Amino acid sequence: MSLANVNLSNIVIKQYRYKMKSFIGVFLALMVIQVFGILISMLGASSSGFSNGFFFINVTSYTANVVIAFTMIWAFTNAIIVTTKSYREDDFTFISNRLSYNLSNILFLITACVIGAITAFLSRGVIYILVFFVNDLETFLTVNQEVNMADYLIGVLATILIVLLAGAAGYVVGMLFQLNKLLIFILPVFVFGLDFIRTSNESTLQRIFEFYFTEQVFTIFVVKTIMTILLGFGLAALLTNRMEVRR
Amino acid sequence: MTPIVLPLLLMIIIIVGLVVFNNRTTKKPLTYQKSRWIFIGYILILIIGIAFAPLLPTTNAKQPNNSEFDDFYILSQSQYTELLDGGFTDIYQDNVDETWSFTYSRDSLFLDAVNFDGIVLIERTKDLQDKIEVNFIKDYAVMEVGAVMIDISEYQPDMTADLNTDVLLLQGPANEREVRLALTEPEFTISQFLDNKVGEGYSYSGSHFFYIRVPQELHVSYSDYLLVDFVKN
Repeated sequence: MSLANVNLSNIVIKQYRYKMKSFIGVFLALMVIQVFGILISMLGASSSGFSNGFFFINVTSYTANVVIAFTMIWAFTNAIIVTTKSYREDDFTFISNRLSYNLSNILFLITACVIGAITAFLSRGVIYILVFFVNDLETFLTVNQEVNMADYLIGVLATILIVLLAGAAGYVVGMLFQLNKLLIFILPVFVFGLDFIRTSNESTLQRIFEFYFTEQVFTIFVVKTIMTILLGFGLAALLTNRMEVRR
Repeated sequence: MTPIVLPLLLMIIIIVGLVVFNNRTTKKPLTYQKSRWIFIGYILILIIGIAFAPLLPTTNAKQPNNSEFDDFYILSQSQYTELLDGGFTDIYQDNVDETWSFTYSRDSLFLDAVNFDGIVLIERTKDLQDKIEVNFIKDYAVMEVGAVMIDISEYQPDMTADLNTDVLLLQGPANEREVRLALTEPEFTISQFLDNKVGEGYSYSGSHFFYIRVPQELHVSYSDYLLVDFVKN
């Protein structure tokens, strides 16, 4: 019997700090995937050409959309990796239970996703500078479409929520995989299958994407994503309870 | 298969790549300190990038007001007829890009063109005596890129008009001018909450033609490949 008096918050904080240090590879992977995204973004998000015999005009637009999308994939994958057995075993270095395990994982994922989302959003500066110096451009245009500081702030928050959403989805998927290895094959088939289930002109998969990505009211978007994230983490915690204890 | 499937496949490839990367770094890890400094360095580069990007010499894209442009487009459809009826001074004065005036006292004039096969409108007028006035007219040219409609009129190349003895030569650029523009657009996490709708790649080249005013009695002939119309007045 130990004389040390431990409480949950201390254990969670210790595990969280440990994960932030030992999972440093996760952040290097983020860097690699974002650099890859930056390079792809330099090709342009969309391009329009126009000719009337006198002149040919080509306008290519540049955004950090690809970097944000890649960061979402990273968050999803990272969350799955965190649930794997080798990573799970690390938690037993400390006095641990399922609750502290989940809480420290969720805290780590939130931190990683916030860092990922902010760096993805910041990458726009590097993209513009590289495009400016690498491409042979006549003019570099900026669009003054009433995008003010508040819009940028909304953009950062929305990016954080979207990356967290991907992280939460990955965490649930990871837990499902740990519960039954057969799901590694069944789940992708199920997701692809959603593309063939149609209720109207759109597939179910499209409708799921549109539920989040076409929402134009920011507050509703926040409610939708936060509710889904909470649901995801809650479901993952429930699934952990069904996992066998460490032998 | 909807267009969502391809990005999903790309996602799977990236996921596999990340898992492989993760396994490699687990087997042969960099030290924590080294990794931390690499990542801090990366963040610093991003911060420097975002701080310096606004200092790039950029131009604000001219964006036509949508309703103004719609009005203009509808109007432009009827303007040519009005122009043929002698409405030049009322309609197109603002769109004259350049005007050339030549002293000319001969009885006849031949119109020729190099690198120009557009429309030429000729107005015979009593206002001019021993003088020819050549106007090159160009108006709105727009194109849509993503969610943005840009006014590209200013990138249309200049034309020239020259008088050699009794030949008026209208000249366009020797080669088609190629203009490459880069446009920075807000990310989807910003534009999702803006009112802008993604356009359909619409473009409109606008009107560009020569409007030539000559003395009433001048006999004008022209090359076969020129599209010439005379103003009814």
